[in-house]
Amino acid sequence: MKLVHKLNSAVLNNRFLQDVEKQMLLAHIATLPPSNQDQLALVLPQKPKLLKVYYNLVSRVKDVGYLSGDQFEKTFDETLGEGEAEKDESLNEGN
Amino acid sequence: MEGFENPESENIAERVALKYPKFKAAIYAMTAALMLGGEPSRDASIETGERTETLDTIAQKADPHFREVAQSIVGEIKNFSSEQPTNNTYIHRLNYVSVGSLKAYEEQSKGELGDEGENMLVGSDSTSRLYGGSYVDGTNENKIMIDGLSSNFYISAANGELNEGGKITMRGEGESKVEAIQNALENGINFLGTKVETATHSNKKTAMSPSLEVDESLNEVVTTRGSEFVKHYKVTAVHGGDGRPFTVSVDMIVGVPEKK
Repeated sequence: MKLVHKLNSAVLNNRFLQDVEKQMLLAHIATLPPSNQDQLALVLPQKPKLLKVYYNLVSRVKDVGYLSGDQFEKTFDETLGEGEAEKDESLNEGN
Repeated sequence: MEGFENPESENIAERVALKYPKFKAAIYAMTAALMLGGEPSRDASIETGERTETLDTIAQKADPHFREVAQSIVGEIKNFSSEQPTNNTYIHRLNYVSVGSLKAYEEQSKGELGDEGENMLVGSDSTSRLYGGSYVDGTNENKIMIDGLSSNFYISAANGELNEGGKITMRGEGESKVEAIQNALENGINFLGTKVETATHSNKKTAMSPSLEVDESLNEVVTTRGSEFVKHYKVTAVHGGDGRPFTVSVDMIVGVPEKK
């Protein structure tokens, strides 16, 4: 299985994303260069909530047109929730 | 760190990775994808955001004479980014060039690039390194530097116009340089000319129409300059203001001699 297929499967099976969000994210992933797809596929499927983070990042860029450093960090904070920085392992599926 | 196009974005990833250390790889992967991916509004946009911050900083630091110009360009970037987020190429070009322009303004404001009013053209390359002012040597000669892959060539006129005798320097190997020139001029100069005029230099109209003819008979004079092979071309462009044709020389750095 190609890495990107693994990533796509992770998106489709992600419990944090709504269907419309999954479709948008899949479309976005399809536009990425293979190297970036592979990079994401190596790290995101194991951490489903990070897929939600990534969706929110992509979504914000789509809406606003750009993403500042503060917005980037804020997206993580808001999506992961307060305190998650200390226990980020708990975001892994099954933990 | 590989995969990131500019230090600012590295800082983003590093900053967030410090907060979420176990997601470090994911954070870098996401940042890289947001920056470098092929989706129109995304990769340029995150850079636009970061660069906009940088531009704000530069604008604040700039000499009062240039601050207005800098802030004007910052505003253009912000407006452009939000209004037309789907035109990636355009944003890229505006973004990069505007950064280069601001950089040039900033450096010029510090007196490092010659007197005010000197024609100064700057560009940047596909990896977003900035060349603001690096090809301005204190003469009044208009210069443009183009760097990067052919599909990503862009040209900026920071403070002047491309006149007769203007000079284009290109870098890159294995690309169709002539096509690249055409591509750059078709997509960049005309638009950038508008930006320059917006930037309060109304007395200096940037001069390029989207059309460009390359006189093949004059091309491919290959010389070396330092350690680089350089091809010299003459290209004919059409003045964007009054339509008169004029010629610019194009030096394309096509490689470096192999060491024997």
